[in-house]
Amino acid sequence: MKLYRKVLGFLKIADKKWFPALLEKAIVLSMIGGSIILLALPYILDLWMKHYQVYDQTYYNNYYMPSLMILYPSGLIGLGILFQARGILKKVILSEPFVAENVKRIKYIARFTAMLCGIYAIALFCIHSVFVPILFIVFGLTALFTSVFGELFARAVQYKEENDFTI
Amino acid sequence: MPIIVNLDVMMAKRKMSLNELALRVGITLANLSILKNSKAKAVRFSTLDAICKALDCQPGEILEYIEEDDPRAKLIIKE
Repeated sequence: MKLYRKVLGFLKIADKKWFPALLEKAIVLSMIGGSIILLALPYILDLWMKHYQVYDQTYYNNYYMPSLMILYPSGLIGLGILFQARGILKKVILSEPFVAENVKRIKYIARFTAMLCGIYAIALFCIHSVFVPILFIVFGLTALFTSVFGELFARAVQYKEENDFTI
Repeated sequence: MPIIVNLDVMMAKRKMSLNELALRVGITLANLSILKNSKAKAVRFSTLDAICKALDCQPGEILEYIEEDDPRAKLIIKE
């Protein structure tokens, strides 16, 4: 019952106009932050791995390049997802979320997430970390759910158009 | 869709403007334009009833079925 009330409370917040606007700003900030991290990735990864090299001398040599090759495309795809999410939120702010453009954007997000799942499938063989299979499963499930959601959204847009064009 | 709305023909016959028809039927000018340009996906019986009453005509005089290879059908799709 408490959880139900919490969910209801969240939905009430999500219904407010300021919420999508705030979320859009947060996405812009994330995109800026993500771009900076992506540009500085070789240095950040170098510092991070050299810190761990103290404990394991082979860590840097074995994992620096594979990590970089996994994280770079992941970062770029992540920025793509944020860009599409921002586009969806812009339409939500304008109070017209049920448009064909948003269906396209959701389908793009599904494709991007599937790409991330593919990247982490490759990473399963080159990075031996417990987080890689977890990310692989999470992105795989997210890709499936997003594609189903995209189809549902497409149907909703179709119904809305039919309703709008019924005179 | 190979069904066209001959609203403009009937309006010309009755010498009625789009504004006047919109007022008589009780729908917005934008919706009437959608109907006139055959962009509508469906027409409510109540709307059809009001249009027929306003224009003093039968539904068959407003709605017309055309073949898909009819040049008018291509015009609708292009628009």
